[in-house]
Amino acid sequence: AEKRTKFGSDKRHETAKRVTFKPSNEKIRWKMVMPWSKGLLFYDIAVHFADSVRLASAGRLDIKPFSDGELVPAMQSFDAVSKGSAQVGHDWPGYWKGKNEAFVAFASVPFGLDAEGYNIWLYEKGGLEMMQELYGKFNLFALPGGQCGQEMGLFSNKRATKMEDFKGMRVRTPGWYMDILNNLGASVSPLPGGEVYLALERGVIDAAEFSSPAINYPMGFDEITKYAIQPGVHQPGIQCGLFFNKDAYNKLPEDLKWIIDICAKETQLWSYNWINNLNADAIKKFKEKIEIVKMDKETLIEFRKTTKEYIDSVKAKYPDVKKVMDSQEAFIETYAEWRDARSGSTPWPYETYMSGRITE
Amino acid sequence: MSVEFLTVAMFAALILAITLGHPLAYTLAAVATIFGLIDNGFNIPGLFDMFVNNSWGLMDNYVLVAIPLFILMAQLLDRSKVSDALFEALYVVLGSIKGGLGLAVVVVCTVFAATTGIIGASVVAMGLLGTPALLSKGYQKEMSSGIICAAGTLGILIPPSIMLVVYGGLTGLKETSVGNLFAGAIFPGMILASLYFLYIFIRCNINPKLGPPISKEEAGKFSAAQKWGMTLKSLIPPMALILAVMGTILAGVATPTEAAGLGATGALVLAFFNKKLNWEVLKQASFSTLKTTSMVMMLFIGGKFFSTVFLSMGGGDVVADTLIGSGLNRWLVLFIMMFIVFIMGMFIDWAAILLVTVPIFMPIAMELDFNPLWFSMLMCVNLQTSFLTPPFGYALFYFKGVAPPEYTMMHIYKGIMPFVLLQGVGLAILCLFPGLVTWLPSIFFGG
Amino acid sequence: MLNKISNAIDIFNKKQGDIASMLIFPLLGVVIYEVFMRYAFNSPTTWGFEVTAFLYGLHYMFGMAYTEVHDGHVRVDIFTARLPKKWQEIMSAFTACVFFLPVMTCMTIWSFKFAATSAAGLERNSTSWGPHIWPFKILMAVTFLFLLIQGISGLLKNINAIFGKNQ
Ligand code: NA
Ligand code: NA
Repeated sequence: AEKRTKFGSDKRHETAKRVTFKPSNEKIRWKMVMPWSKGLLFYDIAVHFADSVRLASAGRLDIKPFSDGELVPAMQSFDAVSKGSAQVGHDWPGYWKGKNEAFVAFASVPFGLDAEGYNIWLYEKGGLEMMQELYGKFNLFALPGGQCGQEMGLFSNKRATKMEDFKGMRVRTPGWYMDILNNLGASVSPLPGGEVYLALERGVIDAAEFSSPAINYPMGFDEITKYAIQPGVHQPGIQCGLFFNKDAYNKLPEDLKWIIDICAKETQLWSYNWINNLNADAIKKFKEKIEIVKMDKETLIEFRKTTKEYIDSVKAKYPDVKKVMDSQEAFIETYAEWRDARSGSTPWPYETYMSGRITE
Repeated sequence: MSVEFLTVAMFAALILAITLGHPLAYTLAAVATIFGLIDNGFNIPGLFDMFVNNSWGLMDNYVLVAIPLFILMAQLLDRSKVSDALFEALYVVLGSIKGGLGLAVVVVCTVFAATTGIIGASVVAMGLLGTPALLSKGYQKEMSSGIICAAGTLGILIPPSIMLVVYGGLTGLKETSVGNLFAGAIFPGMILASLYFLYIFIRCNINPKLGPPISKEEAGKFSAAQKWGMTLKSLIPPMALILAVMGTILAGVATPTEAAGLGATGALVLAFFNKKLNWEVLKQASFSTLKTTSMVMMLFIGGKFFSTVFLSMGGGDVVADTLIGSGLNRWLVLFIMMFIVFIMGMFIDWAAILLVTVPIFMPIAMELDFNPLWFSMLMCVNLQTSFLTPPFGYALFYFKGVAPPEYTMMHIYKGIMPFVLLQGVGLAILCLFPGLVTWLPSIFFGG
Repeated sequence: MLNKISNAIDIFNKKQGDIASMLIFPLLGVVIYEVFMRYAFNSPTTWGFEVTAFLYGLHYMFGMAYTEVHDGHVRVDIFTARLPKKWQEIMSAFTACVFFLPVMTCMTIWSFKFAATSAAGLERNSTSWGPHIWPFKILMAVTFLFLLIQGISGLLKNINAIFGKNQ
């Protein structure tokens, strides 16, 4: 029989054991920009990273966060860090779609990677290297910086579970999902964020998606709609990013670079737990005001089909998207056997499991 | 240099620089440049990359599309002479009582405040239309300039309002959505209009020299029925516009930005019915719209640079730490915040104040457990006041621009003082009866 | 000579502004079209909001120089208006050199750099419609250039008034 050794090894250890540090008391102040207003939980995630770095470095690297519009307008954070007006940025990479379509793949893909998927693909399957290659084209160094799990589906005044229910529905959603819904027969408008609440409440649109339950809760969409159409197939995993001006990053002493790396991972871990714990509370509160309806199986399959056709067309058009999506799809493929083998142990409450519901 | 020192120095430098008479927008940008360079260690590319980013962000800001549309609407209304008919009707209806013409100005301004979203146009329109009448009837110059400036600024508070649109866009909170702000501002606007009304009535009855009535024969030219007929008829166009703007928002036809477009279209239709719609009018309206829009937007650019550098230096934290860390009574902190906005309002324009103070003050207000919508409305009344407070009150400048040369800046400054005090009374009323702000939104939008 | 240059700049900026001011009508048209298509036909456009924003942005940016040539930017001249005419001109030349020219020269240079970066990447908008936005960034730089030359025109007039023969 073949000789078996330990099945894996921590690759970082090889580097880590050789690192030597030059002690330094130099204090560095950085500015951090982001597309988030202070009312969004994403803002707290960005701040969490800044706090972690300050704590871990005993204050030697002091990152001051600036919310949307304080230093630069939301959508200008990328350019601001790229050019060095600020040194760090926090984002949802899909916002930079116009610079390169492939950014969307690092943010969330309809019917694509979930939280677990992003974590494994990014850290173990070469996703991070692709991410750094993409941001690197813009003079940026990037790290994953917050994983928030699945989004909420559509808040809607129209009950929709079957395919035909979506025909002609006036929906607000941006990005790839907008094209997909249009292909499915809905009439989608990319209404700017600030207009969504009033448009939904006055019936300018029938339905809108915004974010995950805990992030949606303060916006009160549940007070002006009747249904939440689940699941949020458009974003199974919201992946946030941290990006650093390369010149500023390269100037850092070795120990601060490690601190940044470790704190980014800590932020990725913390954000998922924090938000999803809140999500569970938020969805309970939503259920007091609105009905949670589920799309039926055939509809989901139809959605998945249209999504695949759409993503294939995007891949055909943009080689950068193809490279990243092929890698993600390959991971989904290789992971499927383990996913199947392990399935059936979903930690449902006892009664739920007894009722025959053994998978998610 | 400490952040505290820079915070104070930046404002002091601005005030000094403004007095040199250079356009305010460029002056804001220049002061921002100097302090921005001090703050970032004289990194010129870093600073201007940031400024360019900010300029592009303004060009890409959908909410602000309402600005040129509201301005176009005001320009068309001005040229289609719809406010003239209402003023002429009220001239004979109210003219015969002491201070009556002043009261007519307040009513006309209040009605038109509900149709337009900016202030420049209403002050200019009433300045052109009302001033000659007030002057020829022997109204005291201080009194008449105060009336027109104060009532003319109601347009920025009473919805639709560009200020409320920007405010709602800035906070991104459900409580302070544009719809809630629009609904919340209706009563405060009416209260202020009533305060002006009462004040003019009482003062002119005590001292008729301030605002004498028109002669009996001039008032007697029309019968009571004719007077009411004229008034009602002249109310149709503004009511149609209110329906076009506020009606379409409430009925779910249009977003607030789109409603501005519907309002402008409504103004075009009115101009057409008044036989004032021709190429020359369209051309002149479009030229004036561009000049006013660019003037406002250039201030946005300069104000944005200023607030960006101020926040980047940490000036915002200095203010927040001082206020929250003080351990003062929450009402005292509220008073201090309002006082700061008031003082800033004396020197810089509403957009710059809003951009600087809202991100700092809203979290403080919420931490102190004040209702965000109510707090926002206090801010907005205060920002409306900034149009009136010397030395740099835009309403005063707009008025000076169109008033006959007999009106000096001193007349205007003196005349506006009592109205500034009335703004304070208005704020006090809103503090005592917060329901005046929160009740209507709860009816329209269920909270 | 200075006067000739200054007048040519003025005429140019008045003309370009007159033309740019007409952008308000297509802007209005698109807004109304969007409402109409959504409300009456239940088919909102994918491009309406973006076209609206582009038209609005170009409209006022081209207006900056136009407003300057028509002396429409608010200023606080309660103090300087009391100075003798010649001193007003000197003050105006001084503030133009200290406040206006350095900032607007830098704004022009860096907005061209901003546009160049965008054009090099053939940048598109991050939306479903995804139009090219680099041409608009170039136009933004052009509008800052127009404003800059208008400021120079004003300065030339000041210099002429200070050093020229007393008319
Ligand atoms: Na108004
Ligand atoms: Na003022």
